[in-house]
Amino acid sequence: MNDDIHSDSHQGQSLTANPASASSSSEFLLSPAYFPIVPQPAQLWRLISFWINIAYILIILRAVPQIIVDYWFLLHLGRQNIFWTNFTIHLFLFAVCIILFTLAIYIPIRIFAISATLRKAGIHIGLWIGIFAGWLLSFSYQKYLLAFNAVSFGEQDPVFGNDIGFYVFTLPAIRTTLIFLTVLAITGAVAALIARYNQLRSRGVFKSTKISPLNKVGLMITNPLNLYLLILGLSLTARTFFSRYGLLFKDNEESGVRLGAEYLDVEGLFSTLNMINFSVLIELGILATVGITLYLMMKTSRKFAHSGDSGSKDSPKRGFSLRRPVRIVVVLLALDLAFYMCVAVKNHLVVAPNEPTIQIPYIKCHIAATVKGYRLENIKTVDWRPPEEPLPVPKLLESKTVQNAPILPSWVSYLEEPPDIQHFERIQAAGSTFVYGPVLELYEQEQQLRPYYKFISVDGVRYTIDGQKRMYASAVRELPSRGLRGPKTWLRHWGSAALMYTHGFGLVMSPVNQVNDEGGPLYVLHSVPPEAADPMFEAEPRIYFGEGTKDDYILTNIRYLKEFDHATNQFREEYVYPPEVKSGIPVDSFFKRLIFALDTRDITAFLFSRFIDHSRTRVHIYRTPMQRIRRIVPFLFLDSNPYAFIADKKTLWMVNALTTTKNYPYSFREVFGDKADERAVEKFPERIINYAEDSVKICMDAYTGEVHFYKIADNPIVNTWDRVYPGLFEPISAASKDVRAQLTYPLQWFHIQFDDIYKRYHQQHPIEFYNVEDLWDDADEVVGSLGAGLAEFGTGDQMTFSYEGYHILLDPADLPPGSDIGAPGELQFVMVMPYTPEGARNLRSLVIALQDPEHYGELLNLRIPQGVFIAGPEQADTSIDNDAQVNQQITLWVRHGSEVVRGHTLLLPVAGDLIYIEPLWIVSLQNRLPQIKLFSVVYRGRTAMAITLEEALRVLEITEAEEQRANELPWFRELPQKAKQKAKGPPKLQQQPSRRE
Amino acid sequence: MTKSKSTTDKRTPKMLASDRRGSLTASVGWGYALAFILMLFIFLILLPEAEGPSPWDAVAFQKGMLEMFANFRILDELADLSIVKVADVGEGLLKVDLDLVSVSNRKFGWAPFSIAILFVAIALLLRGIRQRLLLSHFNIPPSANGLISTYFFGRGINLFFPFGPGDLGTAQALAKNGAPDKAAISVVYYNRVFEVIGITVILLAGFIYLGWEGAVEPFIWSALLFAAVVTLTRPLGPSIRKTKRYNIPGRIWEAFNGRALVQATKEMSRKPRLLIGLALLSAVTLGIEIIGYWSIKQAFSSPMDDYVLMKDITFVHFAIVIAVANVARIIPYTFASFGIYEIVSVFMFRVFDEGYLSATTVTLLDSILINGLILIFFLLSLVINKCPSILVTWRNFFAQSAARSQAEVLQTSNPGEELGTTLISSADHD
Repeated sequence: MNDDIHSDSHQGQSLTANPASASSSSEFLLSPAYFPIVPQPAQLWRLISFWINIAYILIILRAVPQIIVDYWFLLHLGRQNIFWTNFTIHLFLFAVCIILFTLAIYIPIRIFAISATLRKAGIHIGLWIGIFAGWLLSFSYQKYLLAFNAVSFGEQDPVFGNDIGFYVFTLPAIRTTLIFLTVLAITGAVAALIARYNQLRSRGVFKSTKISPLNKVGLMITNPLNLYLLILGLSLTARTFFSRYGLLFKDNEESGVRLGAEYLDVEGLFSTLNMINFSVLIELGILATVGITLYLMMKTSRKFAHSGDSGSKDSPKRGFSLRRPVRIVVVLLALDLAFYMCVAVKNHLVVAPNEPTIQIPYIKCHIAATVKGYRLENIKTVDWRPPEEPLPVPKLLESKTVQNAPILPSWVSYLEEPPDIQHFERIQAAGSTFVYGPVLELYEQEQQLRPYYKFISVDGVRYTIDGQKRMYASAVRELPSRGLRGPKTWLRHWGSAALMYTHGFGLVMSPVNQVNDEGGPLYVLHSVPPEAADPMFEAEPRIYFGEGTKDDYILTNIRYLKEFDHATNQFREEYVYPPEVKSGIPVDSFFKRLIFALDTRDITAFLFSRFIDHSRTRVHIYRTPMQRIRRIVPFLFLDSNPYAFIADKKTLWMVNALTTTKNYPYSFREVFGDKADERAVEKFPERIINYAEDSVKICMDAYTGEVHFYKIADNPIVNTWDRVYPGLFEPISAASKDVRAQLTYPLQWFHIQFDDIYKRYHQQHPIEFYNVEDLWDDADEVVGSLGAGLAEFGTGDQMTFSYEGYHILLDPADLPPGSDIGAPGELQFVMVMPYTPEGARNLRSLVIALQDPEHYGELLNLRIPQGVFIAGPEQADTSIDNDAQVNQQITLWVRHGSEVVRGHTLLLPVAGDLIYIEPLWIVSLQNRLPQIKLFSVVYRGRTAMAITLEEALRVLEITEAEEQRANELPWFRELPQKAKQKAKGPPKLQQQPSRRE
Repeated sequence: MTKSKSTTDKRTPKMLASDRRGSLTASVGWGYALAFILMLFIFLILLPEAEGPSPWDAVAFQKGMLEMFANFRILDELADLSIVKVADVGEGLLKVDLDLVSVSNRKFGWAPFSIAILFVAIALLLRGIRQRLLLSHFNIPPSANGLISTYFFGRGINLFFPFGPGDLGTAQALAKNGAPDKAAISVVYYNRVFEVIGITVILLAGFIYLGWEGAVEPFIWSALLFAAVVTLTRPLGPSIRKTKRYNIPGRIWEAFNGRALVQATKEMSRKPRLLIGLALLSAVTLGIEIIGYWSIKQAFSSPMDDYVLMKDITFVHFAIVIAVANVARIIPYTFASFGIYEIVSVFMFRVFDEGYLSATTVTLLDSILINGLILIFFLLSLVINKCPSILVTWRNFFAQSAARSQAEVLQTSNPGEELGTTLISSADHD
């Protein structure tokens, strides 16, 4: 082959028809043999199969460490039974797929294929497709677990009379299996065709002129092909049959029955249901015809092929004719189409002209199922007619609800996703969907203390101290993962991140109803090390597991080095995680180091670090509450707002978990989990649901990572999961009293119940529902930054945002009669949200979810009677906007370079009446420290402002004339004195002519 | 080749040879199918990044695609065309979140975009100049106009056909422009060698810069890819000679046409200044191309709005990704290595912890940029230069492949026959 290299070895070749004759002085010249060529398929196959095998091996090797780490993770939590349950079902599905697909492909190739390459490829391709199909099918493992362990719902659907459990647990698994069979049959059929083609081609059948094209096609038909086509036909027919149950989930966008079967679907001969039944028969007929035809074609073609007769038209033995089967199939399809036409005609002649009366039973079904699916059937509705006479100010001041008004928001809010179009400009200007959260900024400014700490979110908790219940804003001082440590590269280095800076330190808490003289929080728990105002707030301060520790692991009990604990005046405190505390996975062998190295991809660190001591070192993984819990119970929907509290001298995280399904017949489907509800950093994937329940409260220790699952509901879905994983759930009574005292209603669940469903489904009468006579809307408020200047974000819609549920401490005495949520004076921790009518701004309703253990989960709807006008939150905000003094003051602040932040407009029940309270925050642009500078109060259309809430309430007592006189600065300080000279109270409640929104 | 035929195979050796020619068409079809499958893999499996069965999760798939369109800054245009609707406003097939539209609406970096085009164009021209310098080495008179553009003719051919007929196309174009056949072939070969040298220099520099800690993983993947290139390109070159199954060094040697390489190096080392100069030029060329790719990434980012594609990747990491992905271009199983380049590039970006979405976006931008420019240069070369017909080039290429394949069969039936001679003769007959 050296000749190839030398210049004159291939005299005969030329690149073009007229080769150039220019000579070269170079001695080294190549021939065209050095150009690439089109390779033979066999060559291609050898190489590509090798690399596909390598790719598969790498993917499997990548998955193995994850599986092993999962096992160790669940083992160290004492929940290895979860691992084995999941592993077994995964393995089963994988094995089934691999075996069936491999056989489906390999058998026909083995029988028919001539090409050695194809015969070799058969087993490989079968395995590859089998593994891929197994991987896909294993995503459906939960469906099979539910199907194998289903418990009855004890209620039947109104159309077929099946137990609801059939739709929730069994049907999804059947559908997935049918899809699997369809794909299997198609794959097998393709393999059978390829193999047979290869066989016939090698025999020269396709080049033969003696065999007619139809007989060539007939020769392609084989028994395996017939078998696969039979499976395909049967699985498709079965899918059609089971599609009848899809009528219970039919989306009727424009109809009164928004989801589920309607009159046309189930009534009479020409119904959609009968159309499906008829289609099943037609499909069976077509299947039989095609099957018989293929069988006869196969037999006939083989006979002709053996006899040497062409079987062509001119042949005396013409062979098989397709005319008859084609006619049968056409007739069957025409019948199917005719039935469909009859149903369509019936819809136009019988159904459409008689709506909505004809649909009433189905609308009732839909409303009842939706109300039940979203657990709104037990909501208690009380007509709320505020007293005609305004309350005297002392009465307002006496109200415990007002005294506990959460003027410091214990939450951070964002725009829901997708944001309304009017907020587009604002999002672009602000660069985020953030709306409001001054307490988080305050804590960051005053309590972060060191650059490596970070507050991720703020939450609301409540404690009873000395018999007095109070609500507190609470945030965890976390030492976040590398990704959140910003540009501080020294903190992102492996040694710092994984070995030294391992834990945050302490909670920060302040009552939400009090501010200091500067308009900031009054801390009851603060500093490092934490200083607590009450022994109740004393707890283990070290936060190893928190919201900010996503995707990061740490190692404890290492050698040569101690963990950084906290900074002191002298230098620093160091810490060693107590060996007796069972937390973390022991890294006690080289094998574990290898597996963790592969799993975390910190290969050199894990394999070669001398800090790891096999006798004591432990690794802590999955450290955020959401990640950790999802790793254990991926089937639960987690409300993405974990909150931390102190109980039993521990810092604990609570996560609300729900059991959901989208297969509850007739119930309307909604997307669960939009962004406005996510007041935490970690987003939980959205789910489409039409039935859910607040079922499980999950408690995680921020120091040890220990997790408890407390079951608080008794519904079939959570009971089925309880059967799947015995011992996973504990009864709520197993939780301590302090833990139970911190239960909260899931915010996202509250959102979907009231913001998405109840606003429409409170209309229980089918005609009212059909005509949407009384549609509600979540109330809007003006909240958040007005920008550095008012001009930045403009005004109007860009400034109004929808209410989400917010926590208040509510005195039952402040509610209208009939509410019955507890004894007067016993404060209830509740979540509330106001409604306005759709398209109007007056108040229509206030919904309340009770959260204290005795009344947990009870729902109350305080409905304003039709015809009574009460100003809604946006109107209250307008009253504040229209106040000349406030406008002046805001303009002044803006001119002096401050950012003005409109606070949350609190709507509070007070002695059977209601009042609006709104703080006004100022943030200096030089130093972003928000401070409350002014309180606005709106009561019965009157607006009052002062530097404290109490003073603002007292302002309500003075006359308008006095108010005018008091305009000279400092008006807000002088007003309370003048208020004592009471002359004229707020106006009476106005009656408005009755109107339907 | 099929050594162990089934007993039911009734084909004669002549029929087998004939069948082989026919089966090359299947290989070509496979070349196109592979590009399609690989791109499908990127879009359906990688891009959605969903938790769960992403290939079948329409929501996740839509989200990934829409986000990529937003990154490409065409989502707002799609909304204008009513292909998508924004937050329930207007008409459209798909609903798009407002924040995605705001991404699409962000400021576009025209300056880095222009730089990207300029630098990648310069990099391509420098490759053409490298070829011109090589032609000088072979004493092809500089008066022959358009010899640079022959390079783009070959690259252009490769845009449309799999298995790299562009090399033959370039050689034919050079021959048509007055270069002796064998000199033309050698120049094409040398040009390839210097391309590999450029990649190697950049990769080595990158690994040295990253140090032991950072270079381990990319080095392992690069080595693996290198091995893939070696084995995958083997049947495309003069590889019909047999090496022992486990003689891996021998196979690598053969795959890289070792003897030819040594001869070429010896030849070039007679002019060491030229050798070093061309090696440096190759490294600089690739460096310029990398800057171009980096610039287009920046053009589609908006640093002023704090929106940067691949915010955390450093230039060195980026350069390593591009260099490794360029190694993948040597595998010409698909037209313009379409799909192969993309999947390797996305994979290498993942090695450096970049998300699939941004990796796919940047990779596709790079591909569009270079292939778009090659297409423009190719069209220009057709206009300004004496180039053979595209289809004739492809037919010649296919005929040579068939001839070599046939020669392999005939050699099997007549083992004593000299393979090289048979190959050429067959090609000529075709």
